[in-house]
Amino acid sequence: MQVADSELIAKVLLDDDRHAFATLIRRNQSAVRGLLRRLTNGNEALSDDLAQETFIKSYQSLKSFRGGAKFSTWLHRIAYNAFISHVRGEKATLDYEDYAQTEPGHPGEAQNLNLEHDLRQAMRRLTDAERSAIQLCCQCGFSHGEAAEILQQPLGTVKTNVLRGKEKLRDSLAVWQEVAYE
Amino acid sequence: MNKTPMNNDDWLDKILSGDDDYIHDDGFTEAVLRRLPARQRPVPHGLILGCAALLAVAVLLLSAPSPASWYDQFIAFLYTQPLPRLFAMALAVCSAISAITWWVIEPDS
Repeated sequence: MQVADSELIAKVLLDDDRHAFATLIRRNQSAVRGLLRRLTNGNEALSDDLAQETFIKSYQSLKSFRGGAKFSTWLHRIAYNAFISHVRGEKATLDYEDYAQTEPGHPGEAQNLNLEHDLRQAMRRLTDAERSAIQLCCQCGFSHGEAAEILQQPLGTVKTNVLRGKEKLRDSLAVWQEVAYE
Repeated sequence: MNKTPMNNDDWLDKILSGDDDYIHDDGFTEAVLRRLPARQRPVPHGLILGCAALLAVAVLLLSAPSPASWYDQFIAFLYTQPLPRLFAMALAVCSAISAITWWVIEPDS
């Protein structure tokens, strides 16, 4: 039977149990790294650095986790803040063209890469707030409420950003509508 | 073949969700564990117990009758002090002991 997150957290807090913390990392690493890869537009090295920073920060501030939200939501908020701090620290706006593009391995991948390219371009046209809301709600599968908690924004703002973002994406990606049916 | 009609945004949701593959650990967890801060010193119960024992022995030795020891002089000095000053001294000693105990038990906090 799987041990509950709350039980593992208690072990880390009371006994500094590194095995318990390792279990928490293994449970959440894919989701956190996935979010950061989306936020950094596929930059694996940067996203993994930020993911490591996220888990270290979570270990250091685990005492402040009150259990009001899910542990994974709390963790994603730290990840999102790590990403924002990085962007602010670098004084860089996220340039979606900066990251290396994957070359197609076989002809069948070419279409996917074209779609990825267009999606990247379309995402680039969104505001930061719209992009973050779309990434969390539509790409990472968080509810609007969870996204609001991660982004530390009012629920209504997140919903509005998702709607506006989708509207823009619908226009930008209209040519791919048929492909999506296949 | 008939295509199943999609709702207004289904095609967009499908494109956005993309390939949501599981990211394998591949040493990620170990890398994080290596970067964690060093473990906190375990609570030195032995040290506290040892100090308490030493203190008890010292009190026993000092309270043994010996002419005009500094201990006797100290006791005599305490008798001459007004009560409020004794309270203040006791408070200061308790605060110092509390502070030292706090530092010993939770040195990193």
